[in-house]
Amino acid sequence: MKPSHILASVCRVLFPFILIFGFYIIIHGHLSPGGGFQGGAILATAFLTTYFINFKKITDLNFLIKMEKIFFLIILLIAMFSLITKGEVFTSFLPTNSELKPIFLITLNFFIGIKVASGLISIIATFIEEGRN
Amino acid sequence: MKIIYLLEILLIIFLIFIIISKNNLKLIVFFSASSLVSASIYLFLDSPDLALAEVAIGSAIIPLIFIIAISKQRKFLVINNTAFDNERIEYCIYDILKEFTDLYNLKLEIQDSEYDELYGIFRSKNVDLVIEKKKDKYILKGKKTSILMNKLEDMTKGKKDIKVVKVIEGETYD
Repeated sequence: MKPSHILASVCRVLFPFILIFGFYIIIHGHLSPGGGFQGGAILATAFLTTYFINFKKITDLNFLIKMEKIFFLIILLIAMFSLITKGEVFTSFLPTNSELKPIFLITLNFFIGIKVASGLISIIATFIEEGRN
Repeated sequence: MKIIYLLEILLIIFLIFIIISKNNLKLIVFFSASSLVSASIYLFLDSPDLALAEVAIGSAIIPLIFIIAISKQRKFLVINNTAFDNERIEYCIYDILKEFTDLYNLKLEIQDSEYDELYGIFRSKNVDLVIEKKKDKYILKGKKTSILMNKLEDMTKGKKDIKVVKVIEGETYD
């Protein structure tokens, strides 16, 4: 499976723009449509175009799977952090009537986005790597 | 006429094409197009969140998984479970299998009987066909889910000493 030069060149041009668009949807997720999951899926498609550029790009599959688990634990820790400040779980750990209100949503969206992206990349990388000799 | 009715008609046409078409690659392209149309329908029905997820997953990631799964099948692995070795089998079945694999551009590979004990996705070799012999009758065992088996059954319909059996493969055998 060797892609043509036109496909590789177009993917090289498109790669940073898809990356920026994915991060925009993740970070702007509390104001506009989208959020962690949708932005993470777009980030995953951005990384999948690297398979058309250089076929042996993703080599360390175990690192991706490990990173996904670590980010899942981080999400749970951020959600549990309000137990210390407010005394109940899964709410914002900052006072809600101040200007610092969206910080909780932005951090949670960011980590959810990276977790979803690494999970989808590892799924498709497993599909590609399996049975290849 | 509202544009959403036009999009719905287009979506129905794409879905009918998916059901009718026999070529796998065409089917994937139609699947991708239909999910793009359904994403625009979601946008007109005031749910842009869902439209974003549908564009990213339905039209990029799922067709890519399908394309990878199609391009994986490159060889046709046959396990020879009869008492004869590979030279002897050549007289009766080898010609049929060779003609069959040339039809689909696959690479024929015949091995002696050495089954792996693992089943499911953890099995290292994906066996396509098993040849056994019972009372002057060759029995070809294959998976029921594979589309290739229907064609093989058609090709061996005239031969009297060859019988094709389709096996339902479960997830695990324990």
